[in-house]
Amino acid sequence: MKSTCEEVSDKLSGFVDGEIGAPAIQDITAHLEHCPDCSDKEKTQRAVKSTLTNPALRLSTPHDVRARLIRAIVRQPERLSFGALVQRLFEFQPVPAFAAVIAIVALSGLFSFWSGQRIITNTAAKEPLALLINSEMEGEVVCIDCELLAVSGTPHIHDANHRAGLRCTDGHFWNILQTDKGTELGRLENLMSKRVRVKGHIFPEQHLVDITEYSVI
Amino acid sequence: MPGKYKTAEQKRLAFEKIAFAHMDALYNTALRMTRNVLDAEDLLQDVYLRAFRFFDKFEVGTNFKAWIFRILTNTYINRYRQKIREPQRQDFNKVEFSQGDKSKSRDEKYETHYDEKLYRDLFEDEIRDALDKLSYDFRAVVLLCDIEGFSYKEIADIIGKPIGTVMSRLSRARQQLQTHLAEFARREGYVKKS
Repeated sequence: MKSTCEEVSDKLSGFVDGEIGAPAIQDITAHLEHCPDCSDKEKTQRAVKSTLTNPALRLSTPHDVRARLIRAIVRQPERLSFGALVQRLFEFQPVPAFAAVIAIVALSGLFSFWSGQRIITNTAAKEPLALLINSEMEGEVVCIDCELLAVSGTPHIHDANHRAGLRCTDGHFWNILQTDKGTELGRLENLMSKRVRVKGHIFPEQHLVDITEYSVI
Repeated sequence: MPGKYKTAEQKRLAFEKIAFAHMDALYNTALRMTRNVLDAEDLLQDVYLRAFRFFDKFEVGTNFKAWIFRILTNTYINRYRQKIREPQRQDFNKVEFSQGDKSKSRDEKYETHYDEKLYRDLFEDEIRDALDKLSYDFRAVVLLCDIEGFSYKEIADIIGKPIGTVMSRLSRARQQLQTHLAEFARREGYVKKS
């Protein structure tokens, strides 16, 4: 069966991508041999496809977008599904629901006390760490640029201002995400070289902390 | 909490482990769908929150990337497509150049019709611009196939259309894209010569 140009050009993407069956391939190959127009279109398909593989087209998600997204997800359970569930329970079973709430509050108090003890001091973990939400970290407030200068010994671009970061006990440096708290910590000159304990979200891959709370120890 | 996860914490950890790996892919696609950084962030957040809410329904071991991309296209269509106005893209430079182009002979214009080398020097901004000129239906299949590398079957699942539709849309979308790309490339060549 012979196909028209219109039928062929609608299938050219499938032809180029190897997404059509053998009979269709044969059919199109035969058509392309005697049709320069469709043959041009076939080359166009390949050229455009290869243009789009340009890796520069792929951006990585900006840190602040990532941080806001993670915050939204962390806030999610109690706000939506859990809240709705509790509300429904109270409507149908007020007394057992009330007892359950008391039990849950007591248990979660215990749990948060226990999980709050997890403080990260050694950051050179062997296995790739997932994002750590609401974790704690201890370190010394340093200027990342000054430290890099000292380590490499080569001239390093240093802005007029120091750039605050954390140095953990194992010597690893952590950048601080420029959120309200993060910027505040960086601005306080007297915090330089002080040891602080920070609370927040830790991005091991980016070596970045999103600080929500901090205290000097 | 109902579903397969005993605690909210467990659900969240399982979700993060599998879902955050696709953040860049989703962000890039959202950006090209909305063509706007702020809307892309909103869309991305909506997608993740929805995916998290329905995560109990996702069957472990099946194609998560296709699953979350289906949420992305559905969310975009439901919430944004109506709301977001097509941006006014009238760039006076472009108008001038395309008029200048008309003075060129037809042969000159089509000389380098499908030359791959022609596009190699294009900047990513221009490729993005060319993509942005496509209508949503065409843009979506190109993004999913050529940039994200989904198969036609996966794309059919994601956009909820038959494979034949995916194929013809993709064929036409690439054809349209090449006219925009050729326009940029010609302009480049024109500028370099002078």
